[in-house]
Amino acid sequence: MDLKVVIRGLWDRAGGWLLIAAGGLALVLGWVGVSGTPLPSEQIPYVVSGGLFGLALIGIGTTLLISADLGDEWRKLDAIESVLRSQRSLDGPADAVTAGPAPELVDA
Amino acid sequence: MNPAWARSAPWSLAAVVAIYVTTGLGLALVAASWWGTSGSAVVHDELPWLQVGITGLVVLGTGNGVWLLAGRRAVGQRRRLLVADVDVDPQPRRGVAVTAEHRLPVAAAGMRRFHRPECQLALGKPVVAATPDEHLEAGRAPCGICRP
Repeated sequence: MDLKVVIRGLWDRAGGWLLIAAGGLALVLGWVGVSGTPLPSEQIPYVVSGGLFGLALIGIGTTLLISADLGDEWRKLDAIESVLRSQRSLDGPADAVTAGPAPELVDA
Repeated sequence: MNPAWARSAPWSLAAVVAIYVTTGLGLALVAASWWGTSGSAVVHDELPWLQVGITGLVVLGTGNGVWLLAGRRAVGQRRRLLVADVDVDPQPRRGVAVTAEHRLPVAAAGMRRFHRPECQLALGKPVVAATPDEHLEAGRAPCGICRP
């Protein structure tokens, strides 16, 4: 496998897991902040900075992870298509599906 | 679409721009919400800003969801096209007697590779069956797709 492809895949996944971990941390910090004050007016900023921002980070991280999988599958399909093309070009016109008259049969 | 980009990812340039815009806008709205709520000591004044933050989260989530659906759709479409292009069916056709000759790999004159009889690359061609050794002696290599 191409080293560049491997490194790129790792970066996608590492970034995704990092963002998910940061989102989880933000949720925990938000909960700590909310539970530390009885005043709703002081709790709402924690809900936004911890809750909404944490959910946003988790969402972006998940998107990165799934995108990495989709990219891997796309590159795999690209490789299969390349093999098919080279296969057909190696086999030449005789391997192309034709509807014309059959050439003379020769025992292989 | 840039061919180099198209080879490495299933998204168009427009989709890339859209995901950056929606993610950036969503994060900006959440940040604005935090800024608005933290600058006030009255719940009544904070609730509209909370609404802004929720809107940002919805924008971000929608953008990411559309991005993933577009990628999934592109991958699925390409997979279907590829499978339709190469439909290798290793099972014998119903009603067709399977003889030793039917199982032998086949090739036609001028072909440089030999295939399973059911290989898509061999179907519809004037092929003849022979043993793998005979094909190899004739200078043919086994097909990389059906692997006879």
